Amino acid sequence: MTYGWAILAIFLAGYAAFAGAVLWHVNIYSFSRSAKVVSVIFVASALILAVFSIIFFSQIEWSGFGRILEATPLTY
Amino acid sequence: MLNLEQNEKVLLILHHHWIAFLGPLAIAAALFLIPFFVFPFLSASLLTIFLFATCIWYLIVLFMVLAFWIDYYLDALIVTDRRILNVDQTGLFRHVVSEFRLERVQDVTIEVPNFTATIFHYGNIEIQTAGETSFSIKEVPHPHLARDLILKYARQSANP
Repeated sequence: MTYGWAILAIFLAGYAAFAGAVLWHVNIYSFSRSAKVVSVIFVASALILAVFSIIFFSQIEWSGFGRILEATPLTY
Repeated sequence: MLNLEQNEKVLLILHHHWIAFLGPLAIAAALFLIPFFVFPFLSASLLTIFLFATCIWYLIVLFMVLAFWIDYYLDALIVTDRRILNVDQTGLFRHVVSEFRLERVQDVTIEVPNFTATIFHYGNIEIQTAGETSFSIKEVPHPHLARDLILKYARQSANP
């Protein structure tokens, strides 16, 4: 579980850094206000998704994860 | 970021028509719907893992939409009363800006490629210069108006 949190933190931090660089670039070279509007919508959506991903990740029962996979065999 | 000369005025900024964004948007919509198709085959015990994976998936799709929009938005032809700047966005960070003076414009060709273009009033513009170089931008709205404006100011620049 600790590794899981570390991987999630690295993913979210990398995502934030890369998206931040892209948005900064767009706003530097933008021609109109729409770049700012799109940036705000993107940041708000990404923040909501990131928060929900953390919440759902914290609710995963890792101890029973193996049993969950065993209990759901593929049926045809 | 436009570095204009003193008293230079921007006459027109030509972006792609919104219809050019529909293709990428359809791809993003298809990717967005994938979790909805997976959901009916899930057992209740996998629900939290599924919701977590869906959030991560949507973060990736959201970034793809942003990348598509950047390609659509930053590709532009900017016409000022002195020159034409062609901004060609070729990646998330890479773009090429070429410019030429309006007096060098020799010919402006517009092309309305199909029936959809006729209905939604968009087309392709190609501008040829005295140096035999040409600049083009595809799927821009109202290409006739843009051509008239460019030619009008090109004539004024050539015969002040």
